[in-house]
Amino acid sequence: MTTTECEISLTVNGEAVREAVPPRLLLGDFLRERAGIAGTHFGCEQGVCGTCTVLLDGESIRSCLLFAVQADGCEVATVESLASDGQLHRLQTLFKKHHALQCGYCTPGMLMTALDLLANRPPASEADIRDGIRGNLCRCTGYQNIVAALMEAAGLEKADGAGA
Amino acid sequence: MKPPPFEYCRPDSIDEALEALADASEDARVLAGGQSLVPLLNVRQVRPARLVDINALVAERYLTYTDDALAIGCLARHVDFEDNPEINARLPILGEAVKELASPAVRNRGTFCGSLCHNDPAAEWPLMAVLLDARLHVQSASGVRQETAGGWLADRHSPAVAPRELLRRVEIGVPPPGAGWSFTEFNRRPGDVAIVSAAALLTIEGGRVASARLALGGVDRSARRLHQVERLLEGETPSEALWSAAAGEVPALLEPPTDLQATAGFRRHLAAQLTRRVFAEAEARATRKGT
Repeated sequence: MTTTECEISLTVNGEAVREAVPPRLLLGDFLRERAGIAGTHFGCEQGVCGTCTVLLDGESIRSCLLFAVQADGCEVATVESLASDGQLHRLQTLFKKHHALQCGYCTPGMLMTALDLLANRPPASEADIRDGIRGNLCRCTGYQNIVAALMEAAGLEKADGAGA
Repeated sequence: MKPPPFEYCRPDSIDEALEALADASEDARVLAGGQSLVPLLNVRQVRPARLVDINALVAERYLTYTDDALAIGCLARHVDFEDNPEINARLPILGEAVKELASPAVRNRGTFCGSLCHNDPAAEWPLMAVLLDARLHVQSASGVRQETAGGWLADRHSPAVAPRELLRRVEIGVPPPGAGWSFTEFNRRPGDVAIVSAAALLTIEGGRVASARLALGGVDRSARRLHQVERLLEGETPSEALWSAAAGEVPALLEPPTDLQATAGFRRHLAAQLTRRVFAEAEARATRKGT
């Protein structure tokens, strides 16, 4: 029981990380400032905007609402885990194809949310996709193209047959 | 902003957790899902001296059933209610309510009991707890006490975690077979906290209302039942006109707040409209007995 630093060990994108952290350090700050991977963005820091979404043991969570010390022993995956050997992940390719990012700030959170959605809550319709990303704000308001990318990722076609 | 410093502990047993809550020098709080508490910490609206993280107590993550009740452990997360066949069979109103709750990432982490402790006046779980007469088992180092949702929640308002106590388990009575139910809420965007929410339970026997329950959220310091309206309905013949009459009684019974989201007058209007809708839908779902 302590306010002083706690030793934690966790896996970040497949690599073991061991650090001493103060209990109040948020996971998102840990990733950016201690683990040195800055793909995860902070927006509101109140759990509203979804920009800081990462996977904790395969489930999407807000990295602004979890202390790094709570991730002790867990596997964390960030947007950096998607591309491998210089090849974009299929989701990233689809985001590019459908112009599903403008300024890009929300994109890491959108991608990690989408991974959880496709794996754990498979969408059966456009409505399911919109529902699945409802906790992620895009302040460029580029939702149409994000939905189009996720429709293709989920193997769905628009109900009216029109393209994106 | 970032959270203020705090002592952190992650006990491996309930006894250790209760001890850690009891022997803190100042305010100690349970950290469960953190989806309500951590935002408050991040803006420094609360400054507990110690956080007792109960996430290692994995045995407390359960939804179990007895013949007539559902028991919810203090680590049961919102996601556990989603697409859950047993919930949908026995307490479908909970399966419906969780769909309105925040967003997937928040549901992966947040807990039912934590939501009751935080007791946002328009949140889904406190509304369900008062509608379904939930029984709360509150534990501390000095013992266990039972509370009713109506009593416990009405005394508190957001944020209202009882210091040094743990809401260990909540029990919810399963409504009788054939009871009609309905839940709805009005908000600006899906997943937002409701401006006003409403839920009803209805049993119909011999062509008349045998029992009626009505709960409203977003209209007071916490979710509440409207017993006056419930009593008016008992023994009456279900009809659109009856539900409209019930709705007409609602506004005068409320003293809702005015805030950035809505005026008191708009909340009264919504409360009446949603009341009419939830009773009409509950009637449609109710199995008529003795007709």
